[in-house]
Amino acid sequence: MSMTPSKCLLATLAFVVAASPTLAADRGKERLGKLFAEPVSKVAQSVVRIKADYQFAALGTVVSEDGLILTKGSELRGELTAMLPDGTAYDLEYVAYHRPTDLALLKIKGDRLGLKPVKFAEKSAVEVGHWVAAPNHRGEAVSVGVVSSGSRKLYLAEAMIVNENKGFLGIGLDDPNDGEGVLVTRLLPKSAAADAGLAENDVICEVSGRPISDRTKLVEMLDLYRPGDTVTLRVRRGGDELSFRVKLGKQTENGFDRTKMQNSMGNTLSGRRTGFPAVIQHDTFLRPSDCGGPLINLDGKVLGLNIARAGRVESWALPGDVVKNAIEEMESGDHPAPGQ
Amino acid sequence: MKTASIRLALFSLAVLLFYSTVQADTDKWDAKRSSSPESSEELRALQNSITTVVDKTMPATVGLRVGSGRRLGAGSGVIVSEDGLILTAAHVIINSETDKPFDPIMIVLPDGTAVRAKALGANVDKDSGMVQITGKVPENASWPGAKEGKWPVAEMGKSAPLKEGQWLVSMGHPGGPKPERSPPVRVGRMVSHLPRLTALQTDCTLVGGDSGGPLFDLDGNVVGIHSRIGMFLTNNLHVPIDEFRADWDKLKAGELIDNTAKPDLFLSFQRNRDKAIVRSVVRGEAADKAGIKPGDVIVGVEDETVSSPGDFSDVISEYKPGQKLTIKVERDGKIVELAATLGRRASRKN
Repeated sequence: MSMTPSKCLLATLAFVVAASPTLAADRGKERLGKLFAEPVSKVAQSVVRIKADYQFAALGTVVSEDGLILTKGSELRGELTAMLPDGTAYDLEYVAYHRPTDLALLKIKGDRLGLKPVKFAEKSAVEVGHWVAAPNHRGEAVSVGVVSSGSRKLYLAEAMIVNENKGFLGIGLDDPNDGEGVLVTRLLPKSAAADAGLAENDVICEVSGRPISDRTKLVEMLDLYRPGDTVTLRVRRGGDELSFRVKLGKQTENGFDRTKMQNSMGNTLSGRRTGFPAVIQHDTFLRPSDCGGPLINLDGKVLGLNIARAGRVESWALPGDVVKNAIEEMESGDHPAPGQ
Repeated sequence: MKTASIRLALFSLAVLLFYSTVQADTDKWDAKRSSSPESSEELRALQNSITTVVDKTMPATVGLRVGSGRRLGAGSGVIVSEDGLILTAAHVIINSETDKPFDPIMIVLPDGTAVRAKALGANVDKDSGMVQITGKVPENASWPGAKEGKWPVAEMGKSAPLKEGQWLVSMGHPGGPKPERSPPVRVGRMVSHLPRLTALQTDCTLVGGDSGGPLFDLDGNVVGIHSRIGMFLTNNLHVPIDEFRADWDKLKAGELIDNTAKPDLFLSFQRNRDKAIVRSVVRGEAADKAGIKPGDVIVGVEDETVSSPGDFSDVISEYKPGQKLTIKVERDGKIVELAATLGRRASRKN
């Protein structure tokens, strides 16, 4: 009887854990993350954590040695910083935003960063049923799952860009009878635009210094702002030109959506989760702030870049070819960052 | 003597190690195993097992399109016989408003080809259903036996022996069949048997559209059919395949088994005992659809007078789910007649 009471208690607990495979330690796929240590180590210098206004906003994927990062644009706002694998933190410069893919190109303000750009695998590396993981900046797998279906284009509702994270004016739009701009046909009561003093038949010509040629341009522009952001609108009213400062609101839910309700059960969806050129679907559980990083398989090959928590059963990654294409388009200069 | 015994110990350990490498065949995953893989080799073995199941069973995994117009719906199913018998969920093929099977039903094969089918029987209490393909095997079909008019099939396994923690593969069409998308594969584990709900619970995530789709064990046998979900990602319920076997002949003969559902308008009353004042209605359910609103006072059902919540329950219980009724309500001092279709409440599932 040399065993002290405390030792005895520990032993009992240890036994229970070992004997019951259904306890949290072994249930589900949590433990598989550790078995991904070796493949995850292959991208250890290629993942950063992005903070926006001091909060975890997304993961980032390193695409150049001198610190170019890709991440999920619709999760960004305010002041941007990157936490590197070695624990250091740097400010970020917003270089370009590519709306079709929701990819933001950022540049780390610093040198000798010790980063390694990812190399996207060929298409054939994507195999349905293969284990995949989403590594973070600390060299851990955030989550593990399998490839659910290979790269596909999106159609119908899934092909349309909707961004629930965008700033909301709360107006009805039309093209004006003459000239450029956007005609305000309707003001939702208590909306941001109504509160700021806009009126029906106003024509919006500029948002924060950038000219608005048509409706599409306005919609694209608002994608770059978040609820709570303030914009300055230049407005034609009759013969006058007026200026309004508008604090953007949040789009309110429009009635009951059964599909959305079911898809939101047990998890939070990304604000922008549609309208991508193509996606790889996998069943890895990701929070919206876990998007933006690479998706790797057991060989450590990078299959794509996680772009959305799209539903209860699915996370989506942009295939490598789509990401490469977006980088090229952003380098052409036609996809300016917000505020440029 | 001491050295000798240490040597002996080392020697025997070496033997044991050697023995265990021979024994643990890391290339192959035991389909019945209920624990996590312990090494990356085992994780790979499990992956091989998963892809084998996927290759074998995906051709038999189908989508269902049911109804037409406003009552258009989508679900999933799995072909289990070469002449085109499909297992699915009752709620996919039975129209809850009419209590009758949807017609037509179209089957969507993994490559997007559509063929006609008709509903056979269903057990509404268990949520099991059966469908028969009536269309022909497409001429360009390439699966084995296609030229002889045979459909690709998945074998049926047994659900009773499933152990908690056992690894499973789930397929179906979340959100309904989509272009260029093969039935998405999900992998998870057996959480528990829920006999009171006649269900299996797994952490293979499901969502609307998956209903009726197959759950496979790692031998590639169907062990469950997707049925419903709960609040958490681990609350995914499947009809045990053994329940299909138990009702096999009735389902095949086209019987509709529905013993326990009670009629319900899905509303609640204020505490007042001598007046049936509606407190709330469940969104999207029978009372809501009929246009009954909180604050309405229910004064009659068909020709019967209702003067209390108790009266109302008594009167309603004489009808069947799916029946149409006229509900008289007093609203703003006027009597309004509203047409309602009674919903069903599966009483045993509370």
